[in-house]
Amino acid sequence: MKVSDAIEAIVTSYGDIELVARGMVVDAAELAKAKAEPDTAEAIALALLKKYNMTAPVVVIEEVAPEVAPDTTE
Amino acid sequence: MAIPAKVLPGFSTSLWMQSAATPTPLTTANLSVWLAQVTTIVGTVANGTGTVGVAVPVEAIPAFGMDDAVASFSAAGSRQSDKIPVQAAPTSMTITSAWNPADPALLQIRADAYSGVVDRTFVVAAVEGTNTIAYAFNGRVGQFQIDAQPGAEAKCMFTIHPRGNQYGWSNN
Repeated sequence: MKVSDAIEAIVTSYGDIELVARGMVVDAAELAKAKAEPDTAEAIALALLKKYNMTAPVVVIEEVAPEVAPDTTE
Repeated sequence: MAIPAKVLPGFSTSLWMQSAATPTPLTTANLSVWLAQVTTIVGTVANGTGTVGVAVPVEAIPAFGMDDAVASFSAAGSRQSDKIPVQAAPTSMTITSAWNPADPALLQIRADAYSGVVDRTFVVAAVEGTNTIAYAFNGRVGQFQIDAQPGAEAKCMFTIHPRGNQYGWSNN
């Protein structure tokens, strides 16, 4: 779901917006870049989305090939 | 929606509501937004009047917030039981006003009570100097009674039933 669509859904909701935000899955990268003016409904919606879409930073582990002992013929 | 971290010593409270006959209540998120939302009801200055709001002449602001609802669980042999909070209803606000048949706010509330299905945004404004903290909520008016006993001034009593989860705090 697009962050803008999720914000629109929360801002126009008459229900429990915590519950609405909790059920929305948005792209974490897009969410991290999203901004809103303070003291606006969009800022409240964005804060709720960030609260319920916490993602840990991706850690890339490179696979290191085990060292192979050189063949020795003694 | 955190309560603003501000203490108002010696503040006064007042009740405001949207003035239109069939208003569009603020959405849940907008109930926490002062600028261009709550301020249109209570006004941009303390105890001012917003463009779409009107003051309700109440004698006192009753308690508001959320009622308690718990479920008790116990295990055999345990000294104490658990009290687990469960879904709780918002507190209904029963309000007494001096009855003025020419007051537009009271007439609108009376019309809402007879309808029973009009959702309206109400705001409790706590004001100290130029500081205002607002508690905005959507609600419907239930009971409306006029008590016109000859020994005292005529009063009207009405009850506002807030809609669940539709509230927000804001400040200027």
